Amino acid sequence: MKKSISILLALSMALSMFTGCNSKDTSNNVVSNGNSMNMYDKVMSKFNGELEQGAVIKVLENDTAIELGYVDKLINAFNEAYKDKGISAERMNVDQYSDLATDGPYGYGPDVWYQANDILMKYADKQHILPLPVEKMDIFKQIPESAWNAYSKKVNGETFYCGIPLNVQSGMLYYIESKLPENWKTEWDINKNDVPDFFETYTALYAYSEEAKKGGKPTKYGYLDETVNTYFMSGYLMSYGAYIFGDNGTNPKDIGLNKGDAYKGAKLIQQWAEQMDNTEILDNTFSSACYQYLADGTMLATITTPDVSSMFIRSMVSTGKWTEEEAKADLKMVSVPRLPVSADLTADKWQDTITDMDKLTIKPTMMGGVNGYGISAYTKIPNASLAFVEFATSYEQTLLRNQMMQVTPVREDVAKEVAKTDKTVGIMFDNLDGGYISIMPAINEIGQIWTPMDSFLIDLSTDPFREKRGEKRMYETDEQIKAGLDKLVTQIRDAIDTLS
Amino acid sequence: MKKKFQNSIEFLRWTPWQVKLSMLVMGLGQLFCGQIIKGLLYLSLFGGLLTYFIVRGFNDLVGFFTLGTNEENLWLGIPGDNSLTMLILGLFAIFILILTIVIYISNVKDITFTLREAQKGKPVRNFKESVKNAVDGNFYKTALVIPIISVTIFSILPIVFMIMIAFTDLGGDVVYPKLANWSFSAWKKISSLGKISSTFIKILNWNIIWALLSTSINFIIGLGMALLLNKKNVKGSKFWRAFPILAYAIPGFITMVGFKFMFSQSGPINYYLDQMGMMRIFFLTNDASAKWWARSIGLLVNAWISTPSIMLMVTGILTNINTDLYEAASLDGASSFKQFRSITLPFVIFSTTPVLIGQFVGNFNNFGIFFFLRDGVISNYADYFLASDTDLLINWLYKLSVNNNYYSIGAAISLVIFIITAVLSLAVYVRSAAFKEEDTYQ
Repeated sequence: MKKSISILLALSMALSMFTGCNSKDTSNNVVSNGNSMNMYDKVMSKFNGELEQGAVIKVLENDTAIELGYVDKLINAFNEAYKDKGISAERMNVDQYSDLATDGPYGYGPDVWYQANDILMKYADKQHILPLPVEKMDIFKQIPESAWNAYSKKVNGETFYCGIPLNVQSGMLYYIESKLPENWKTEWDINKNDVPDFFETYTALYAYSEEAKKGGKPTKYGYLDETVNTYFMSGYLMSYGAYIFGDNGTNPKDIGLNKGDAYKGAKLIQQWAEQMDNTEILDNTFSSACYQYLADGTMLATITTPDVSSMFIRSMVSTGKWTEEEAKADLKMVSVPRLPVSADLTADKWQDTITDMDKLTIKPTMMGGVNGYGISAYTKIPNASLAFVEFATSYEQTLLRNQMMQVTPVREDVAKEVAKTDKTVGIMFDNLDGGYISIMPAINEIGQIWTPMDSFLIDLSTDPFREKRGEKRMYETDEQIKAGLDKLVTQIRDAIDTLS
Repeated sequence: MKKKFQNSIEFLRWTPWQVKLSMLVMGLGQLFCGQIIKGLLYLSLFGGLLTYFIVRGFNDLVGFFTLGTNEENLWLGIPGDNSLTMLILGLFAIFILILTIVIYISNVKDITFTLREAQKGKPVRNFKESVKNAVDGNFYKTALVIPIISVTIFSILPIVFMIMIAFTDLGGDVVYPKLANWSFSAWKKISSLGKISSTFIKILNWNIIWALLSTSINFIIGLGMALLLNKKNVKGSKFWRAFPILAYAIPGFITMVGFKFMFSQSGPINYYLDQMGMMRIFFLTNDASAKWWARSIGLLVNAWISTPSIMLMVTGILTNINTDLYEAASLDGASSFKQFRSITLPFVIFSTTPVLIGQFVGNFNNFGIFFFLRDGVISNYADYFLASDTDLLINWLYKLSVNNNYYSIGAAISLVIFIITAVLSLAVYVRSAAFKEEDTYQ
């Protein structure tokens, strides 16, 4: 009898494994629904403009914005503006990286969520974030298309925007003005444009770094950076023709990190690692040590995002040589230098790269991200939530956010206003507008690039040290670097194929 | 089988109408026999269970097999099924079904017993007598009811749930609101996909070596320290004993982060090597030369964290050894080493075998060490799939399931870990003196 029951249960289980396949009804799914004519209107019908009376909007914001007091100001301003309209907002005291897929269905998720585009769009891909009627908003024309693209999703040929971009992040070159060599105006400004030449081209920066290594300069190193960081280093590959995913970052079947002359970018990274001659750059602990290294004069320059400027200022103040005001004035950010066309940092004379800049150098492309607001698909108050997002992305609030957090707005009107006093914002906005910021793809598969790419970069940057130890280099010739990049792409493809 | 069938036929022929009534509706037979309270209890249980199955239990059972048929559309607000919830509720329904069968059998057995006793001329038991029997004559059964239910809900249900997930395609792209299917895909990937299976074998080999080495090292050092600090000629043993306890008291992850910094490229060890004009060593960096450095540092850190507990335990055990044994051995001319090998070691091993098995299982699944020391890299030079050459199965499992949301592969690997640790632990335990000679030292 026991055997009979066991066999019956096992059979029914086995049978369900076969019958279960392809029996799912996905007709509710937007992607498979053929009636795309009304789809946009159907999805947008919940935004009818009628504010849900008594609604309390739960807002999940960025930790730094909370710490610097911006979020409280924003919420207070919103509550004041909408006190007669029956809605209010409150800040959520949970981790900024909420898992909307698990929190949302049970009512624990936020109504409005501020995050990077890749995170918001990962959830939008599975419908956890709502598309918004942005085309009807005034802000639509104020934001460059590249920023909107970071939030767009095509369904049945129709474009949906699942968030409103607010500010852009990308790598900038940091330095301390008072640490510049005394003779920079006479020796390192041959085009007399009041910008040190070594911040204009990488060839010049390499030449300066070589001199710094020999001693006699205010800093021990010229340029020092974590050459194993995918976020910043992938820009060098992209500048020479590589890309992450094809079709503007939407096609995971087309992985392009080995495309174009990507190997040249990889060689350049290796050349820097060799020049730096410091094994600390092989650890991700460097990213937390770099603030102190800039402040104490270990290095002249490094590349990171503008949102961490307060960390540099804190480190400068901690040395006792600067007050906070002095540190703010002395810390500078400029655009990443131009790269040599040949990708060889020693092929041209550095002076030539300044005098013949257009011919010998190219403008670099850096990886970046666009932070913005999204609305949860689980919200019961879509209209009130939209009202909050519109308020938070308004001219006044975007300006205030910039003033309090030094982030670069993607609103053209705000960017123009801020650029009058802050050059960084102008540079970043122009880079975004000109396509020199490659926005991180907002598809799920992006999660599979980090570990393989980090590991490739570690191998690449470790090579110079291997040679010193009498070990064989892994990437000695162009062919070996190309093979390494091909392997990297295969690893990412394997990970995507296996884990999706 | 045939005999059982004949017995059943015979039972049905014998059954009086009260039994048949209870077979039809639980508790009715008892009511007609005058067992009102018991009959009403069975009847209310019958009603409750029937209502549960009509209202949702049956649907949950069906849902367990289909894992959902309508996909939810969050943008349009069209409700649908959630495969994960259906799996949990379906499992719950199966457990309730099993419970129903158990209650039904007890109901039939009870009325049969009552009528057989009545045929023998004994009076029908009233409720008070039945309760008395339950807490007296059948106390072992009554006492086990609550533990069985709680073990089922808190231990068996989650384990079965994990096992079930290993047989679905949940994870990756198939996450809510997408619907899952029953599938062997995770097992196929583990066993047949070149990259995953070769990585699995490599990690498994290292995992076994790690578990054996770390358990042995921790035990040997712990035993050594306990013996040393137990020696009467060691001055200030209480003072020295405080140091390992201090290492034990500091939270493990702080120790691990500390060691990571010490051995990092910018850490003090490499700094002093540099100052002495020597090459910096790739202790934890993702380089082929770092493989055994990192593994050894892992063993060292694990020993640093774990040996104090072994030392404390062995110190306690040592105080239980009868000193007469040593005295007798000395009189017989046994050397100190002979005394250690023939008296101390067997006694300590006998007492600590179950703990050592626990340590082995704990080390086999030691997630923290390499998560803190060496995370976020894959060993390109050795062709690992989303893993480094120091990762244990549990670290790989984490990378696959948590970082990549690949629940079914994660569950399948968990199952493999469970089988390996269970088989090895049981095999060692049943061969140990602690199991074979349980009464020897009592």
